[in-house]
Amino acid sequence: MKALIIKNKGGISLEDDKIVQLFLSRDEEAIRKTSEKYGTRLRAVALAITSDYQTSEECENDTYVQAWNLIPPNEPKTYLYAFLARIIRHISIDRCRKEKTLKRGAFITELTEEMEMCISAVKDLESELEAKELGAAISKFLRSLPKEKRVIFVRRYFFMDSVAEISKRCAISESKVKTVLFRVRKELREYLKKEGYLI
Amino acid sequence: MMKRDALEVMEFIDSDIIDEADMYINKSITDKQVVSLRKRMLKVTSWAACLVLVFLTVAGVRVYAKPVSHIGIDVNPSLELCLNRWNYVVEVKTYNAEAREICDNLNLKHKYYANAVNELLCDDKFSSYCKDDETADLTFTIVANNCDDLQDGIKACNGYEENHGAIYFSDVNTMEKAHESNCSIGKYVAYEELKKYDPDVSVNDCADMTMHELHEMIDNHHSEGHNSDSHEDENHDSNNHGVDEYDTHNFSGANDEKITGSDCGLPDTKDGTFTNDKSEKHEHEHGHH
Repeated sequence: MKALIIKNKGGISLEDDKIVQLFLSRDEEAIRKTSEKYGTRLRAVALAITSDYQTSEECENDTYVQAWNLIPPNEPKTYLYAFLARIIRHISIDRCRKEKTLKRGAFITELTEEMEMCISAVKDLESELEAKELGAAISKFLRSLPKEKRVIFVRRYFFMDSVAEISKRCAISESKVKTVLFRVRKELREYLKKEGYLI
Repeated sequence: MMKRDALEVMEFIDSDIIDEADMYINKSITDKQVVSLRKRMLKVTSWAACLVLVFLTVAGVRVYAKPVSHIGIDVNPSLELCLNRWNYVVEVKTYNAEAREICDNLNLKHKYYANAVNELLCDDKFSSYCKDDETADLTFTIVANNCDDLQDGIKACNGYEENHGAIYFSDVNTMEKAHESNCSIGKYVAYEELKKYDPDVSVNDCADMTMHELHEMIDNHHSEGHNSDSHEDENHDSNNHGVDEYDTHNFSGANDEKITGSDCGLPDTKDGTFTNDKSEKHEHEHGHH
């Protein structure tokens, strides 16, 4: 499979559905086209989590391998980037937890604790279905938020950006980012409680 | 069964929300870059404006402070007003203790030359040197492009007629020689005249004399010359002041002659450089002698 992993060397990007079609037809060109189109963005996600360039490259390669294995049965024709982003995020978090040398354990723990403030009392998500249900509920809640708040929350807890990075990229103060995150977490907790997800 | 922690649950949020967050951040970066670029441009523009301002200020100050005309004023106090192209006094040079004493109590710099001359002539200390008609000759020596204008301005000053002033014109070469000898222009012009009769006289001797003494010596030599040259005696007016003799002898017909700036060896005020290859010319304008 290593042979499939080709670095992004530029080129005309294909539509997502065509890339997915290449995956479905087991065409190795799918990896090349995915790397061309999303390689940089995916590496950035991994780099934000692992804070190590070499590890982020390895995570990117692992993502292509996993995508190769997951398509089919999945057919993310309309959400390929989000699909890949989920994979690389998961792989990156796993690497951070397993490899102590990355020294990202504290960062992951910090974010986990922040999220547990609103969903710690959620019953153990033992099935994929339950996790998806909760994800859908969180999505519904996020859609009710103003765009900026929603983006800040997702950047923090999905892309795992630091507060400073969010502040810098959104051109707002760090204190405002912290305040927004605190309030959204509180509102999410209230929402999940109201929807019956909290025990 | 696998247990998921709170952070992993975020993997299940909708794809469009993930895309939106990703795109939004990208847009924010663009906005920030624009803001940053604007700030940088503003900074660069500000610096450029400051530099231009500094350059213009420095150039303006240099042009303002550059002397292009000179008015030597001699009685016994000998001083020189250096004027810029707008005829404002930018420097006052003194050549003896009397002049220094007077100028210490006067602020002539940055004043229009006519006002400065007026103030000088009205000064008690200075006017005390001019009071005695028998021993005082007030002379102005102009080295300038705009001799006529300066002459008119000086003549219009309050103390000019009262103190029986006289105006001479000189050139840059003479002025430079005078400066090299640390002598005022007026006295140096008189020294050059005197030297024609008495080769032994030195510029230092002349610098220590009053204008009246210098004119008197020239007059005496001139009279001696006239006595030996009898055919000119008939035209000589015995009531003429020594200055007139000095004038008529050396600058015959010069009263009606006006010297241009280039004649004076002065530059066009455009380039502000002094060059003079011409021979010295003088004009003496009478006071009330």
